[in-house]
Amino acid sequence: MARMKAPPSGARIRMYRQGQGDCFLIAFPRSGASPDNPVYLLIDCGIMNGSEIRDDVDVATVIDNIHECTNGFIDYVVVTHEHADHVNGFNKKRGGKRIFEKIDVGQLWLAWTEDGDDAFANDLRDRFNDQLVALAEAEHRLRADTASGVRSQMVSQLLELEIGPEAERRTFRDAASTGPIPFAIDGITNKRAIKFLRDHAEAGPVFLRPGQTAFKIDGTEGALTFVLGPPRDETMLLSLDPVGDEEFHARHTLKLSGEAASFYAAMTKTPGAAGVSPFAPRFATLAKDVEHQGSREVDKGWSSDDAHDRINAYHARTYYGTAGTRDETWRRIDSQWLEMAEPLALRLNHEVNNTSLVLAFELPESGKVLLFTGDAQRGNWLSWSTLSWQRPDGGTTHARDLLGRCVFYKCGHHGSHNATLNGNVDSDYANLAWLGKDAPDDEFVAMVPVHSKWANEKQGWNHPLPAIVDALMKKARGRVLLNDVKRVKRPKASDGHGKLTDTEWTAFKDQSIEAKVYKEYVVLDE
Amino acid sequence: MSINPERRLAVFAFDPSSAAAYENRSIRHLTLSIPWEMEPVPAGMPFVGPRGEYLEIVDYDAASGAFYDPVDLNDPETRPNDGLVPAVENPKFHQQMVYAVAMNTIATFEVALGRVALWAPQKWTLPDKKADPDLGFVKRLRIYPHAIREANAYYDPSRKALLFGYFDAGPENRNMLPGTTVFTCLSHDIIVHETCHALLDGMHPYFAEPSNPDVLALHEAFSDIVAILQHFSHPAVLENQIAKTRGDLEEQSLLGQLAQEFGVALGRGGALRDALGEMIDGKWRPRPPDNRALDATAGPHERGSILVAAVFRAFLSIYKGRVADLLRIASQGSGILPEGEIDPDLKRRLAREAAKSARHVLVMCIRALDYCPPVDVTFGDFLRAIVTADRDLYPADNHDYRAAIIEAFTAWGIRPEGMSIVTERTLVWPTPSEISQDNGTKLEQFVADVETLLNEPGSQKDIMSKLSRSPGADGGDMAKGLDAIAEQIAKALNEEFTTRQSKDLSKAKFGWSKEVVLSRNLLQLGLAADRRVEHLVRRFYGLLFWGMIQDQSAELWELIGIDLDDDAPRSINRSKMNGRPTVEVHSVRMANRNGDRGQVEHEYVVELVQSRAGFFDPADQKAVDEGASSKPRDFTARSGVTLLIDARTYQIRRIIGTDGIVSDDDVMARHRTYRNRQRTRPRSAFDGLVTDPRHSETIAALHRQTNEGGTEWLV
Repeated sequence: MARMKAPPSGARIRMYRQGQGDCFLIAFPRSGASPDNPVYLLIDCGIMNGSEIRDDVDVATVIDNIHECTNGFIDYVVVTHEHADHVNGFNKKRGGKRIFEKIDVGQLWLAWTEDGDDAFANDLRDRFNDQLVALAEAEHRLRADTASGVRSQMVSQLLELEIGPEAERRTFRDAASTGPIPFAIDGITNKRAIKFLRDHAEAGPVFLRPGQTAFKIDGTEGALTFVLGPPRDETMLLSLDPVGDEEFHARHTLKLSGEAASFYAAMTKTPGAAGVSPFAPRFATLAKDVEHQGSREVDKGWSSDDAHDRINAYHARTYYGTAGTRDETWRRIDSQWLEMAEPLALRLNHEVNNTSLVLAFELPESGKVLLFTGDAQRGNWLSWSTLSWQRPDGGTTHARDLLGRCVFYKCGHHGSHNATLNGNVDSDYANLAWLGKDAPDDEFVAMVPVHSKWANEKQGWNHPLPAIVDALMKKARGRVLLNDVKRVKRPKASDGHGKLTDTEWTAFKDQSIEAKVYKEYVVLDE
Repeated sequence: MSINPERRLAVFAFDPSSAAAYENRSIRHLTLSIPWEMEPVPAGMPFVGPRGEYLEIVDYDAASGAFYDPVDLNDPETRPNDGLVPAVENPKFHQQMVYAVAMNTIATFEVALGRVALWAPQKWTLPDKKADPDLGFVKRLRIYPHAIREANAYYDPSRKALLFGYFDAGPENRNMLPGTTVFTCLSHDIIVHETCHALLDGMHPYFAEPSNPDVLALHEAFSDIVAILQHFSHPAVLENQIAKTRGDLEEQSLLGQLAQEFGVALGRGGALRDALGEMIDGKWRPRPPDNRALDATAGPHERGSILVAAVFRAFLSIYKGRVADLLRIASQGSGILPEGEIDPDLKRRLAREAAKSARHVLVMCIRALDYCPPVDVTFGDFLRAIVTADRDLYPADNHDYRAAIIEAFTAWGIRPEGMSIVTERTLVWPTPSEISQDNGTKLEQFVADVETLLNEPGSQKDIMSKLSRSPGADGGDMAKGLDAIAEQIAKALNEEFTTRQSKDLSKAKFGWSKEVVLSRNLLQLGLAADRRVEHLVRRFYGLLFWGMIQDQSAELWELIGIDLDDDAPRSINRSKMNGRPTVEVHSVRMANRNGDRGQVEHEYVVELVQSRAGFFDPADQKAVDEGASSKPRDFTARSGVTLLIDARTYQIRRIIGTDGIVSDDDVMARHRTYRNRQRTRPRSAFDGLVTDPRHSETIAALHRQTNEGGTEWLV
C-alpha cells in the first residue's frame, strides 16, 4: 500500500470509515522534505461497538492502514475527549497484542482536562467519576429488575460510551466499590487507551488550553494550531443547576448539588441502610420485613388490634398485593425512581462531550482554516466567540476572523442536534454561519463521521440530524462527505443545495478520494 | 344532608419553606374540610393509610428501601385537633397533607360538575383470565408521597398513581438552605396540580394524546389554573395579603407572585412566572398581554402558561369589578383609600370578594370540561366551552364574567382557529338547528330514540341482538353483554346499599335486579351515586348509544359530524360486525348544575370518537386508504363530537366537534404534519423522538424535559 502523501501545499485530510466513531489522519507537507514524508497528525481513533459500515472494514483494518500509510510513525496524536467512539481503537487488540503498538508516536496532545496538575481539571474528573460510579450502579439495579418494565437501554448505551461494554462496566463498578478510581483501571478501555498513549508517545503529553498562544506545528512549513476548547468556564462546560438571576455569582463548587446529589447519594448506599431515608428510623419499616409476609399473616394483621401488625399488613396488602381480591402489583414502583438515571446519564454525556478539545489549523500561505470540533456541544461553541490568540509573529487573531476563514469543518458529534450551532453571521455566538464567511473562494467542505443506519435503527439516535445535514449541504453546496454514503453526488437544482460550476465540481472531485477504508479531501494552500 | 361532621385536616397553606418565613406567620397553615359523605368512615373505626373511597396513600420509598408508617386519621388523640400538626419531619403528616389536599380538589370537581369523580379505567388481569365484571373500574387513585428522588412529581396513567419526589435543595433554591430536603408532596400547589392531571385523565383520556400543540398544554394549564385559583378561594390566606396591599390585587405583589413562585423549586415555574409578570425595581408588575405570544411558543408548559395568564387576567378583572363599589364606599367616592392600615371590615369584605371571584372562575373552568370536544382539543375550544357552559346556565351574564373571560383570552391571542369575529354569540357552540335548518325530521327520530334509550334501556336489547346477528359478526353477543352489565349494576347497587345500612338491616334483601336496572334511568343519581355504579352505568349507556348509532342512517350522523359512510377511506377504524366505519362511545355521563333561578339543569354528555390509521408518508396513507396495503399504522388520528342532550326534552342542545372529521384528507394532512414535526424535533443529542404518545409516562417525561436555550436546531 502506498504512503499517504502530502499535497503540494495545504493539508490532506483522511476520514476513516470504521463506523460510528472518529478517526482522522491529516498530512501536512514537511518542511524541506519530499511529499512522501509528510507531517502526520491523527485525531482520535474509536468506534461504537457493532457500528461497522462495511463487513470488511473495522477498526483493526483502519489501524493497519494507518500503520502502512504513515510508515509506522505519526508525529502527533490528538485525543479530543474520553468517549469510547473516540479512543477505543488505541486499545484494540489482535492476538492479545495492542495493534496500535506498532505505530510510533511523536507527541500526544490532550485537553487541559487531562492534566493531573490542574486543580480544576482534577475537580472535574472527580465530579465525572462520582457520577459514573452511581450511574453504573443504577444501571446494574435497573437491569436486575426485569419485572417492572423501566427502561434501561438508554442508560446502557450512554455508559457504553463513557466506560465501555458491559463486562468493563462491571469491572468499573467493582473497582469503584473498593476505593477511588485510579487513572487507568485494568480492563477499562477508555482509561487504558489514554494511559497507553501517554506511555507510548515519545514526548508529551502536551495539555492544550483555549486561548493559549497559537503555535506552529513543528515540522510543517508554518501551519498554526489554535486551541478553541474545552472552555475553562464551568457554566459553559457543565449543565450546572440554573442559577437565579438575582443570585450573586459565587464560584460554584464542582460538587454535585440539588436533585442529582440526592439521587447519587441514594445510589451509593444500600437500601435500608442508615442515613438513606430522610426520616427518623422510628417512622419506617424496612421493606424486606414487609415483603415476605404470608397471606394469612396479612389477613390477621389487617384487622388486628396490634398497631404494628396492622401497619405491616397495610403495606403488604396495598403495596405487594398480598391477599387482595385483585392483583394490584402493576401499581408497584420498585424501580421507578431509577428512571432518573437516564436524564442524568444524558447530562453527563453532554458534559463530557463539552470537554472536547477543539482545534483549528491555519495554513501558512492562504490563511485558510480547518476546524476539528471533536464532539463539542453547545456550551463549548458558545465559549469561542470571546477568544483571541496571540500569534507567534506577535499579532492577534480573533475568533470571528479565524472561523471566518474556515474552509473545512469536521462536523461535531456525528451530526447530532446541539453539536453544530444554528445562527447567522450577526449572532454574537459562534455558529455555522460564522464559518468561512470571509473565505475568498466559496470552497467550504464538511466531513461527517457517522453511520446513520446503525444509529437510527439499532440505537434510536437521530444521527445525523437531517436539519444539520441539510444546512451543511446548503453551505457546502453539496460538498459534504458523509462516512456512510458511498459517493458524493453533484447537487441538482431540485435539492435546493445550491449550484456548483463545472470547474468547482471538477476541482472538488480532483481534491477528494472516496475509498473503501477512508474518504479524503485536500485543502490547497493557495 | 349528613348529620356527621366533616373531617377537618391541617395542611401547609403553601409549602414548608413559605411557612417558615416570618412574614407569613399568620398564614402558615390552613385547615381543609372534607365532607363526611365523601369518606363515610365511622369515628370509632381506624382510618389507616388513609385508604378510603377515592384515594389510597401508599408510602413506599424505594430508594430508601422503606415503608413509612401510615397515619390513622381517626386517631382519637389527633382527630379533635384537625389531625396532625403540620410537621416536615413526620411522614405521617405528609400522608395527611397529600390526602387532604387531593380530596379537597376532588370535592371541588364534584361540586362543579354535580356528579361523582371517576379515575381512568384500567385493563385488569383477573385470575383465570375472566372478563372483568366491573369493566375496568378503578376505585382508588394511588398516591406515593415519597416515590422518587428527583425534583419532579407526576401522574402516572399506567399505574393510576401520583408519584411525588423529594430532593436536596441546590444553590439555585432561594427559599431553602442548600442541602435541606424539599418534599414535593408538601407543596399545596403541586398536589392540586397532579391530582388535576388524574381527574382530567379520568374525564378525558384522549387529552393526553398530543395531536396538536394545545392538547398537552391544556392538561398543564388546567392543572395550574385549579392550583392557583384553589389558593385564592381560601379567604383566610387572602385577608393577610389584602391588608398588606390595601386591596389592589393587581398592583400588589402577592397574588401574582404566589402564582409565580409555584414550582420554582421544581424548575417548572419559569415559564409561568414570565407569563404572569415580572419584578421591576423590586416591585411586581403583571406582564401586559401579548396577542401574538402563542405564535412564537411551542412547548406544552410555555403554551400552557399563556392560558394560565389569560385566566388569571379574567380573574383580576372580575375581582376589580366586584370590589369597585366597596372601594368607592370606603374612600368616600375618591377611589383612593386613606393612608395607614386598611379597615379590618373592608379587608374581610375584599378577601371574601376575591375568594368568590376565584371560586367562580374555577367553577367556570371545570364546567367547561363537559363542553370540550372529546379529542384534539385546542385553547380556542376551551374558550368556547367556558362561554357556552356559562351561558347555558346563566343566559344574562349579569356580572360580566363572560365578557371578562372573552376579553382576557383575546388579549392573549386565544381564539378558535379561523374565527374572524370573536363575540360571545359566535363563540357559543352551535345547536343542531344552526348547523342545518332543514334536517328537522331526522332529528325528531333521533330525539325519540334517545328518549326510549334512556328511559327504557331494556328496549334496546332487540337492536343489540339484531346487531350481533349481522353478517361478519365476531361472535360477541351484544345483547348478552348488555344483560351482564345490567346484572353487575344491580349487584353493585345491592352491595352498596347493604354496606350503608346498620348490621341489622343488612340482612334484609334489597330490590335491585337486572330487570329493574333495564327499566330505569340510572344516570340521574348525581353526587349520591356509588362510584362503581356510576362507572358501570356510564359504560352501560355508552353501549346503548353505540347500538343506536349502528341502527341509524349515515346521513343523520354526517349532520352531527360522524362519518359512517361505507365509502370512507379504508384506514378509518371499522366495525368488525358490519365493516362500516365505527364510532367509539367512550361513555355517557350526566352534567347537573344549578341555574340562576336555583333550578337544577340536567344534561347528558355523550362523547363520540372516530379514529383513523395514520402514516408519516402520504404514499403509505394512500395505499392503505385504497386497500392496497395493510402496513401497520404509524399513528392514530382522531376526531369526534360531544353531544349535549337536554335531560327533559331529549333534544340535542349543543354539538361540540373537532375541527373537521378525520375521514377528510385535509384534516388527516394536518395531523400528519404535526406528528412529523414532533417526530423530527430533537430533545437531546441522541433521540430524535419527543414524547411518544404510546409511552405511558407522557406526563412524567414532560416534566423532566430540560430546556437548553434557543440556539439549537428547531425543525
